[in-house]
Amino acid sequence: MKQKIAIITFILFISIMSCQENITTPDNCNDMSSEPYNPTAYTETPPDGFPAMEHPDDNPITVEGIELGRHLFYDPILSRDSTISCSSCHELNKAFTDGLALAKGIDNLTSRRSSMSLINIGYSWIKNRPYNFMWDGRFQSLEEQIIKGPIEDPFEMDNTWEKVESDLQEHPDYPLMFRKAFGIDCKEDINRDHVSKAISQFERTLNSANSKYDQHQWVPFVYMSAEELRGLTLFLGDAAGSPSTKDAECAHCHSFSQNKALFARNEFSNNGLDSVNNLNDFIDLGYGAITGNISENGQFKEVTLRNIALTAPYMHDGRFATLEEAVDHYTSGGKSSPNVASELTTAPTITNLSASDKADLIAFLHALTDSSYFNKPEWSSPF
Amino acid sequence: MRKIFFFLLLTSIGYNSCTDTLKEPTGTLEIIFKARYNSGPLVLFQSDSTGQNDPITIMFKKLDFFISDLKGNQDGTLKDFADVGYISMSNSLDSSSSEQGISLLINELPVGSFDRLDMGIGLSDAVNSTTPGSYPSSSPLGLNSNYWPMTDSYILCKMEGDINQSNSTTTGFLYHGGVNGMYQQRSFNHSFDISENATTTIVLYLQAEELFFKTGSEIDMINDSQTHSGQIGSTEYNLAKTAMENLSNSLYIQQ
Repeated sequence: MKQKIAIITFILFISIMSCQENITTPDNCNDMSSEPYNPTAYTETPPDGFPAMEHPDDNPITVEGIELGRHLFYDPILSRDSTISCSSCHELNKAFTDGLALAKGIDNLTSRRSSMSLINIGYSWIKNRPYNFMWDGRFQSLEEQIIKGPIEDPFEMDNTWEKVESDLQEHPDYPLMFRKAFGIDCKEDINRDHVSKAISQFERTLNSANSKYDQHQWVPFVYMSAEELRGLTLFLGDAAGSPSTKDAECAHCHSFSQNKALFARNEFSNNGLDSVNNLNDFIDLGYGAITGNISENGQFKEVTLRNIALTAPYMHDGRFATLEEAVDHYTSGGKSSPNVASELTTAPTITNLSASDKADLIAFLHALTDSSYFNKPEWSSPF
Repeated sequence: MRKIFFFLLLTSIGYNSCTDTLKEPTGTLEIIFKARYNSGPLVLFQSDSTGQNDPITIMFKKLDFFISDLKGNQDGTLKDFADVGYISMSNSLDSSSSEQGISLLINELPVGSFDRLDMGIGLSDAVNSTTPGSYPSSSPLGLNSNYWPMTDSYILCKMEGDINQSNSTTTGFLYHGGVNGMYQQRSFNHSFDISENATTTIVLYLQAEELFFKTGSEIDMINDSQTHSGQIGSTEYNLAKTAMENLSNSLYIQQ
């Protein structure tokens, strides 16, 4: 008899303990569990020339998540004094850059680097690589970038996650949106992980592949101009046939293939911006400061050339105001340093380009502009 | 009733344990690639004497390449080990890291004794006809950084750096092997066992000086300092092919 009582007591104890997690007292839960949670999987087919996008397994993309992310992206609630949002530095019609050499944050403070384009940003994620996002690659994933990046950066939003979470939990509209996107039961369950996941989902939809180049590739009877085609030949260089006497060597770093036409290889390199004799002499160590490898000092993320005409000024510090200046830099052969990219140091004809050649090259770069998404409602501010 | 329950329970346990025992035993092969320059480890961004009249010194900055079609010979039958790997010496920034080498782990290999390791250097033309969009980013074949739009080819090898000439001029070198027809196949006679739940290690040395300075297959690094492979039959192509052949021949297995 005693044994039976002991077993029953034990079973009851286990049952009660297993229920504990699901019991939330009214004191700490503004219950939303009666609201429906039926997230809709986002299943948009990738455009021609693009593979299916990879994303972290723990953040599947849903229609509700994207919509929440869009609201958060444009909402200044994320900043300390509610004056700036993600969109302050990432404007839709500038390929999600800001047109400034160096980004401006809260209180008009200037950051040390330029805002990066978010166009096709989801394709910058290389699953097993620790360094993917930002000029110096400091973040592995978009989610990590959002959690560790702008919110608490004193030069950007200068907020605290605790305040962001609290403001969102008390907001009249957001709790229900979080419920629909992530199935939270209580308003108090809203946290930074949900915020980062939602914004990441929105950013993964910012894919652009309807430039003149794309139409030339995929749309019957649409062709680039002779000038743009000459520019493409220079861009590709030796691909035109036998070793060419004129080769801009662009495609080494701004690589693409028929079904992965990113115009970026998502690597980090020293593109000859600064002349130094010693690898420790770079003013901004860039990628090397993150990896700890001295041979990677002075290296920065190679950006996509899609929509590049919309993202001036150029380079991590915005030193080149125009595409012409950027092209002039490369066709000068770049400045010397111990780890300057070999693609530049062994480019035998890069300095041979005439003014006309450069104009052709720039014409091709403009052909990579996709303006069809300008003011696209799904990417625009909901406010 | 209780007897039936225990019978079903025992049957279930018995069945599950049977399925476990039916699984073929497997082991792991670790291939460590170590780049050396003459008798010491190759250190990137460090100048080494060439022993030549010109160039006098050489500094490697990058030494990366594809390997593929790894197989082991077991009693006359070739067993598939792995399809593709990418060897990057980018961590060889000091002697100790270089000596440590780059490890390639191949799991779930059939156990048994093998007497030969076969390996392709580069990619077969069939694999080379695919493109990065067909692979996930976790595969070396899925990265645009390993692909060349100019020739619709993967970049099969990257050898980059600087040379210093007798006239004190420093110039860059870049040998990128790409395009079809460059695939090299090597067989290393070597006896090794793959044991159940154990890791067998094989060390392959890459003698970097032999990439350019081995008698009979030298590359004129001053006059032919770079190639992106070009069109089949071109000077650039022949230069890249020599570089690929030298790369393949520079590999030695530690006995």
